Amino acid sequence: MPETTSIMSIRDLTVYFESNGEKNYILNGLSLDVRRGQTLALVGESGSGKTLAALAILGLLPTAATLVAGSIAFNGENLLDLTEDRLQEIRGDRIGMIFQESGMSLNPLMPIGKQIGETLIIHRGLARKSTHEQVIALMEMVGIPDPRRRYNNYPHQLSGGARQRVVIAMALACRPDLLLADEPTTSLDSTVQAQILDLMSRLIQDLRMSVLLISHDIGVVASLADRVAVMHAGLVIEEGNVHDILKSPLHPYTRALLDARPSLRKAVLGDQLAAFTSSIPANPSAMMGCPLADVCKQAVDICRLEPPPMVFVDQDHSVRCLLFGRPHD
Amino acid sequence: MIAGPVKKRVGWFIRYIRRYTRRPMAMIALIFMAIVVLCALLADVLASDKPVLLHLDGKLYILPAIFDDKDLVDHDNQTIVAAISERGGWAVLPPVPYGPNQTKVDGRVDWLQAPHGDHLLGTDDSGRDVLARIIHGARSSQLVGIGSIALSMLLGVLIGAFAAYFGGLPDRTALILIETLTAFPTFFLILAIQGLLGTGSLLQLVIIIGATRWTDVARVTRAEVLRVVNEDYVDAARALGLGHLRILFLHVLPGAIGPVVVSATFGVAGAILIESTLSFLGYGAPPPTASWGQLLTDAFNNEGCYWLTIFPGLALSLTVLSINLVGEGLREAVDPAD
Repeated sequence: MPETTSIMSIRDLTVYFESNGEKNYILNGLSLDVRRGQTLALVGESGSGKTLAALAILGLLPTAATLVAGSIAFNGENLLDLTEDRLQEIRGDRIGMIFQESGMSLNPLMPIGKQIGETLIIHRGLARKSTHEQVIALMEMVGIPDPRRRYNNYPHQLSGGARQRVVIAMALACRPDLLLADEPTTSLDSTVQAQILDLMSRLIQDLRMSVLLISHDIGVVASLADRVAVMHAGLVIEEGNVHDILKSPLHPYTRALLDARPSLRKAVLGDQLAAFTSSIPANPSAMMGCPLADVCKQAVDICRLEPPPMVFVDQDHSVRCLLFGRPHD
Repeated sequence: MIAGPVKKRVGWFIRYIRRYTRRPMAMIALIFMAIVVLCALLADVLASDKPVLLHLDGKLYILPAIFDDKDLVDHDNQTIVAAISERGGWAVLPPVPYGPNQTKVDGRVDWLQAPHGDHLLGTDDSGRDVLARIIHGARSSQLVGIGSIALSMLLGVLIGAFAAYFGGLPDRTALILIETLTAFPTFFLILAIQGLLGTGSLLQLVIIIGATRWTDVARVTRAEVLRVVNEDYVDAARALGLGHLRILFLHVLPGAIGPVVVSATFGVAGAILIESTLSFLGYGAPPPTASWGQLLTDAFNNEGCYWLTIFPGLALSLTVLSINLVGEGLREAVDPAD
């Protein structure tokens, strides 16, 4: 993969949580690239470390988490080497973030216009007064109707969809090079979800943004992403173009993940959801073989003996599975 | 529709005020408190031995009591009225035409007089007007009550907020400090310090009470900040690149300060009682500063003079009751469960 096209490259990111003297590895040498102007979707079940990866990028890991190794190259800097002051300059300015649960990420006691203006004040050094017009423009950009009147509204006076638009406006206020979107539509009902997805795909195109989209919703991924990285147990196990991954997934886990999606057809036909009974091991790196060896129906003896390498099946599609790494029948 | 129904644009502050005004007892208490505070602020206009306005011998005096006019040093309202009737001119007298420390009226000492037309609440054993002393006593009470709580708010909010926000060592240090200070019975600690330093000024009292009673404020602030700090919007603010201080003061404290203000209101009542008690025991403000506690001491020394007990006692207990009712009203107004 040519490095020059990447806006951010994560290499070997390893993070564990320590509780009761036991180390729980959440990220086990995570490597991924977000290509300039593209959207990379990071998918995986809850607990696979998606959100933690985003927090690590921003240098906002919870205090219980320890970063062991790795590097995050962004605009020629290793984010993990930066001082807190420098990171603070980058957060919200060069890297924007949209959190899950938009309603929760707004200050309930501050009018929304003021909140959107905050980033402009701290990163652009503007005075509160001179942010007003820019904030109105941002509110227009994210499709909040009647922004002048809405400027002084408090979050509780807005609907969930409008709140999510405010959150998007805040994340984009400084036109960041990279947008981290953590489940941007999960907390919304489905009609609003569609509107927000529309808005996001329009903004991503208009602003030519590079995006790391974190989601477990295949529908969201299909409508926004250019590429998909599937995560399991703190590792990317399959990566490729959104088309390839959704149409012809290779890794047994990816296939199970896609099959686990409830669909109308399955519900009508009474099909069982294909739940993949995967347990995420506490310390996968200490295991000998593939972390999925015990639950994978296609597992062969060798799967339990050596960790699977990342294998390129073609130039743009890689998979971490021994079944593709060596000849088999 | 993307945007929900437009509710009336009313901020949280206005909503709190509306909810407060719906409670009659809290409103009565607030009005009483407003009167007491006005008495404290305007004491020199309401009760003074000098006129509010005076025109005598072709010269106009405005509030001579405050500006300490040298011409009038040896005069009081009564001698001035006499002078006017001789030499002409005019004067606007204060509603209570006696100063808090004025012992002689027309060169005469009227001591221990029961309430009557000239002295509505009677006089004490030095001939001083009790009403004038109560009005000026409100000044001592409010100064100590509000001043010391303002100081303990400043200390308590800062210490509590920093402890809760940063956690770890700052938090443990603050907790040790709070527990150590709470281990002493506050009143006796204050009494001991006052005894050690000697009765200085009211300002000294403000500082001592403020510096010993911030622990309650710190405790409440700490608890509230801990609650707010775990809200997602604080993490979101970090992700936007906001610094810790900006987040703490702009995004965390506004959501945490409500209950702190409520508890501080009760603290004002406590501080007023402490001031009165200290003055009663002779460790409060130095004489001749008028103070409700000192008025009660006078009552103690003059058995049988009911007006010396009842009126300062009423002023003190009604004020403390009102502050507590105001606090109660505030608590209910900001109660999210309501």
